Parts: sequence; structure tokens; C-alpha cells
Amino acid sequence: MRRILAGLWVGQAILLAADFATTANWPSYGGTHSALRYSSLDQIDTANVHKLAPAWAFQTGDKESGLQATPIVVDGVMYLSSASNWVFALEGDTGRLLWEYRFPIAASFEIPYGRQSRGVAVGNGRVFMGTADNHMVALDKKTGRELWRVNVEDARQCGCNITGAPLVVKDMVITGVTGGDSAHRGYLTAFDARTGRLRWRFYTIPAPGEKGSETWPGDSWRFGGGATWMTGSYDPDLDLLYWGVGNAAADLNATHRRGDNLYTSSIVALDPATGTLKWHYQEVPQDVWDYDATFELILADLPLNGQTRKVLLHPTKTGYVWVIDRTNGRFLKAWRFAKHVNWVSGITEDGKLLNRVEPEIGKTKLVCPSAIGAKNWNQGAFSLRTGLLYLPVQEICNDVTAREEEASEGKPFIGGSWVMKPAPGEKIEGYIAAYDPVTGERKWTTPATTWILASILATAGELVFTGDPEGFFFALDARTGKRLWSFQTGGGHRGSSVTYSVNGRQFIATPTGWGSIVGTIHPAFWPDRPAPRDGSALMVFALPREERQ
Amino acid sequence: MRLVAFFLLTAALAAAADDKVARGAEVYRASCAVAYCHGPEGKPGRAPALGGRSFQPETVGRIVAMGIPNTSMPSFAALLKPEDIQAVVAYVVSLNGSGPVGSKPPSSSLPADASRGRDLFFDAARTGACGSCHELGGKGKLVSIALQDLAAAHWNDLRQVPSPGVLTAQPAGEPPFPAVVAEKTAKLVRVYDLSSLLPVLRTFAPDEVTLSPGSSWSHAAPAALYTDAELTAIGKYLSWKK
Repeated sequence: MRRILAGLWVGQAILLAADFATTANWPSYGGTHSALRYSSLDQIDTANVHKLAPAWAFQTGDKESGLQATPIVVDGVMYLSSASNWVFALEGDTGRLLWEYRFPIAASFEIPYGRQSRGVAVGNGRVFMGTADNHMVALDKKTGRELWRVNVEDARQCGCNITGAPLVVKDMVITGVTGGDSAHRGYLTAFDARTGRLRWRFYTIPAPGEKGSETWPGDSWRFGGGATWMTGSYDPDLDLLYWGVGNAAADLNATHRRGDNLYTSSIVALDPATGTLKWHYQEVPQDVWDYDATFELILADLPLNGQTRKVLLHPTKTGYVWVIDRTNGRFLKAWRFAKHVNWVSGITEDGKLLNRVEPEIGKTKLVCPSAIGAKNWNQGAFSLRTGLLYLPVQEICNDVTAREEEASEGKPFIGGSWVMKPAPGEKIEGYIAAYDPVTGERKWTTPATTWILASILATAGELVFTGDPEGFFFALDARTGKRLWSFQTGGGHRGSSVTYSVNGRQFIATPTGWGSIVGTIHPAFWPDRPAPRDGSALMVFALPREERQ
Repeated sequence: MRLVAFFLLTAALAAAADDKVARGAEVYRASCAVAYCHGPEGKPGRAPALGGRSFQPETVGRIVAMGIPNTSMPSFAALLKPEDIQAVVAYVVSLNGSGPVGSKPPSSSLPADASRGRDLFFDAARTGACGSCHELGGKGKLVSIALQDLAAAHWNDLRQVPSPGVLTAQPAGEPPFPAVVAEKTAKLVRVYDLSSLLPVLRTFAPDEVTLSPGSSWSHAAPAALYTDAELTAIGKYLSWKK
């Protein structure tokens, strides 16, 4: 009997093998484990998108920090988490609530990196969520009943927690942590999906004696940052788990961590069975700008110098997209996607950073992009239909000043200060742009009224969807950037839209409701524009029934 | 007439004060609430909560301008215009209330010999350190016995601590595991699974698991993360805590 059960588990694991595009389901945070945020669904297209209309809506009732999650859809059921770590299972075509779960967080608990949840992961018959107080929790997919929970690390001690969505790989669930601006040492942790037992932990900063530890003088490794606060990707053919590792700490002052500071501001590729490092590529050695490298790792097979290469596209705060060979971690190229970039004057053909403009103690310097980044965690999309990479971009600089600071475990460890401002003689601006992923050539730019802090969704209907802070959810022509449809949802957009189909009907779902710390800066940047509306609702759209073929 | 002028002046002053607070809120969002330091509207962030306190403007002004040495609180004197510093001070003072939002852990001083033991007890570089199961001084996780109740005799040999509370849980279709009961009602059974370095709180329906007394588990298993000398230091810390 036990043997049969074990066999079933393996069977379920095999079903998780990922593809590039999503189809009827939206199974994982980035769509598939390749994180393209691209769907092959094409029922809704450029010709009929103007008829797109609301199908249903769902109010989470959670009044905290907006709705930032990516809904997960498996076999017609949507799994959604809200900022206070509530989870909902909804019928994908009707919005009917199937079950609801609320993770208990003590009211007195001081949440280190904000109350926000970017989504759940689904697999092995379970729904997994990381929590604001640093637990991983597993629910029964059918009933929402809690099956297990485990404290990843004491949040009161580490000053860290989980805001990102977990990733299910085979029979494991893998999660990162925040803590990159605290005196903390980051890691990834894998748990057995069925029992919650620890499988492995990979520290993003090597301990003394381990390979790479020579890049951390003295005790600096203990509190060196390297958070893993967003979600990684997985290539089932290569059997490699990829994760972006955040900035080194103290963010702006490297006086006590002279060296490359491996593996901060790097991409790491791990053996998912053991958590062993297979390769790494460090984009920003000795990061002194808070240029977190934790964002989406888009896996694509692209033509490069006459060959099809298995690459990983990595758009980051730096204003550059890194193109890395995902089989071995070799640097292929980096191209600039933002206009205002001065932290380096360029990147050489072999990946070296030129003329770094580093913060200094007691001196203020204007650095672009800012610590908010030329893009933040809200994700771009790569369309297999158009071959273009779509990014939400903002042009913001900051005055940075480094300062001496003592590390105290779990406490903020920033080593300086920054003040956000536009580039000289310019205004702060945001836009959506389409790029050739290999050459970096910009094909079109569609300005936002302010900026775009929601993710982008691309579909085979040659459409690109996203939402703005003022509540408009809209569709652009993926080839031209022309706005084809928009709908006022009533709440600012800070989440990630998805598409899926149930019984042959394609749906587009978007979270609405403003929130997050970066979100609270908005009125300071655009005092004359209407303030984004809070809220926490999901809006779902489809073509009217008679319009479908 | 004079009365009208007085009202107008008062209204203008009040409006000016509101403007200052509103401007201060903008400065706060762009400079104080970034990087998750101070929370929005003075709520708890990673830096101290600023809402609900009883700040004097002079105190806030001095800290904003000068910073706090050796902490993440920088000096904003060279970064913000003086009027913006005044505005942000007005905003922070406007968040004042009857008492601090959230609690601050009490500071304590520890004898030097116990200090190393405390560091080891909560060692973040050691997955499964003592603090993964034991709560002490507002840190760690309360899975197992409250250490205050532990007889002093055991501090000298932390490998041999008796664990009568550890049972054997036998879930249907799964191997048995060592468990500590967290909750048992007519509807559910919640037990900590001690078989991995981080205790897992499992939830079962009563008919999904059988609990039986006794276990092959021993405290020597987690103690194996430490050397003899380290265990001695931890014992010193525990003695001091008592």
C-alpha cells in the first residue's frame, strides 16, 4: 500500500514538467516554470478585445496593502492569496468561492517587510504559501484545510519574512526570504511537499571555509544580505533551479565587505534535489546601490550568433537586461532598457562593469536608476508570438550618501540614505516598452499616465495587458503598443494579471487595489494626479458568450 | 469685522499647518518609508514605529537632521531642504498618540560567559539551532518545554535532557515520527514533527493519526549540531536566564 502511495507521488511530480507558454491553466507564479508570463490562448485577440467585458469579480475583504498576488489556475479552479495571508479557492468561470483559509498572524507582530503576499504555489495536491511571519504553510487543495506549517526562521530574530510566491519543483516546495536590507544572511529553503520536512537550505552567502567565502572579509558574511524575496524558475530538461539573489548589505556602504560578496546580486543555478550550487553568475560584484537581482528569470531558447541558445533573460533594477547561457551560467550580453543609467558607463562584452559611480561616506551623489529600480519586482512578459520582451519601466534617480553603520542582527542595515528624484532637467516617468530580447532594440514605447507597478501579461492573441495606479486595466497591441481596450476597475494596480480558460472560454483576471511601501511613494512623485485607490479585489474579464467562435 | 479677520487668519494658519503636514507626509513617503524602514502612516516597519508615540518636535527635528550614530537612521540635513525637514517633523508629530504602536523588546545585559551561549542558542548560521524549538527572552519558537522549568541539573549535559513529552505519531499511510502534541480537540490533532531540523506543525483529523506514548527520539539529536564546548556555553546562558 505504501509503495502504491509513493508511486502516485512520483506520478504527480512528473506532471509538473514545465513548458514555455501557458495553455488552459496558469500553473505557476510566472505562468509556467519558465516565467514568460505568456499564454498561447488566442480567443481574445486584437480584433475582438474591444468587446472584452467583466465576467465576475471577487472582493477578498482584506483591507491591508492592496492585492499583489498572481492568481494560480489549475483545472478550472483559481487559488488566490491576499496581503494578510488569506487564501481563496474560486471557480474560474463563475467566481464562486469554494473554500477560504486565513493564516493567523498575531496582531502584535511587527512585520519586517510589509504585509503582502505575491501568491501561492499549487502542486502535489496542496496549495503552498509563505507568510508575513515567516512560515511556509501547506493546505489541502480540495478543502483548504491546513496540513502543515513550518517556521522558516524566527522573524523576530532575523527581521525577515516571506512575501514572494513559492515554487513547486517535483515533490518539493521551495521558498526564498526577504531581509536584504537587514543584518541578515539570505538563503533558499526546500521542504518536502507532503510532510513539510526540511529537504535542504542553500545559503546565498558562503560560510567561512566554503568556496566564495574569500569574497567576505571578517564577519561580514553573517549579515551580508543576499535576500531571495521573489520567485525562481526551473528548467526540467536541464533539471536546474534558478533563483535571483538580492543586494549585499549594508546596501550603500561596502567599507566592511570589500570583495565581490558572492552570491549577492547574482543568479544561482542549483540542483533541485540537493540544493547544491551548479553555477552562478554575479551581475553586480560588491553591490553598493541596492540593485537586487531577485526579479523574474525568463527562460527562452533564442537565436544568438546563428545558433539557438538556451538563455535566461534577467531584467533588473540596474536598467539592464542580462542574457545568460542557462546551461552553464556564461555571460552572453547585457543590454540597456532604461534611458537614465549612470551607475556604470557601460558593460563590456565579457560582462565587466565600467566606471562605477559608488556612494561615498559624507558625499551625496546622483545615481540612476534609483534603488526602486528602472523596474521593480512587477514582472515583464516575453511573447513567443511576437518574439518581444515587454517591460514596465520607470525613470527615477536618487541622491545617495553612504554612512558608517553597525550591524545588529535582524535590524535595518542600509549604510546610507537615498532621496528619490528625477534625472536632471527631466520628470519622473513610467512607460511600457517592447524590446528585441537579443539586440535590445526598442520597438515601441507606450507612456503611462504615471508609472506601471503591475506585472505584464502577453497572449497569443497579440495582446499585452497591464494596469495603472489610477485603476485602468488595459490591453495594448503587442506589435505596436497601441491601446485597444481599457476598463476602470476602481482600484490601483499593483499585482499580476493572468489568463486561463475553462470549458473553452478564455478569461483574463487581474488583481486590483493599491498597496506596498513603494506604492505609498506615489503621491510624492505625482502630487497633482489622483491618489491610487486602495482595495483588494479580483476582476475577471471575458468576451460575451455570443462573440466566441 | 475684526472677528471675521481673526477667523480668516486662524483658518489660514490651520490650512498652512495642514499643508505642512501634507507636505511632510509626501517627504515621509519618499524618504522615510522607502526600503521598508518606517512603516506607512507611522505603522511598524523594520525601524521603530513612529505612530502613536508622544514625540516633541525638537526631538524629531534633531534626529531627522543629525541621524542616530551607528544605526540605519541617517542624517537628512544635507539631503532634504530645511522646510521639508520641518514638514516631515510636523507630519511625524501629527502621528502622536497615547502610547507606542507595537512593543519594544526590553534591553538586557548579559555576563560575557553567557553571551556566547546565547549567540549559539540562536545561531542563524545553524539551521535547527536551539531557538528553532525553544523560546527564550522573546526570541525563538515555543515548540517544546519552557526552559525556565528545566531542572538546573540538566544544564550541564544538554544531550541527556529527558523528553517525556515526545510521543510517537503514526499517520495513515506514512512512517511514524517523533511528535510533540500542540493541540488536540474533537475535530483535529496538531503535532510538531521533530524528525527534521525545523519542527513541522502537522494537522490531522483525529482518525488520520494514532499517538502512542514514548519515542526513540532523544535530545542528543539536535544537540549534535554543537560541540561539547558550545553546549557548555549554552548551559551557562540557561543558568543565567534562570
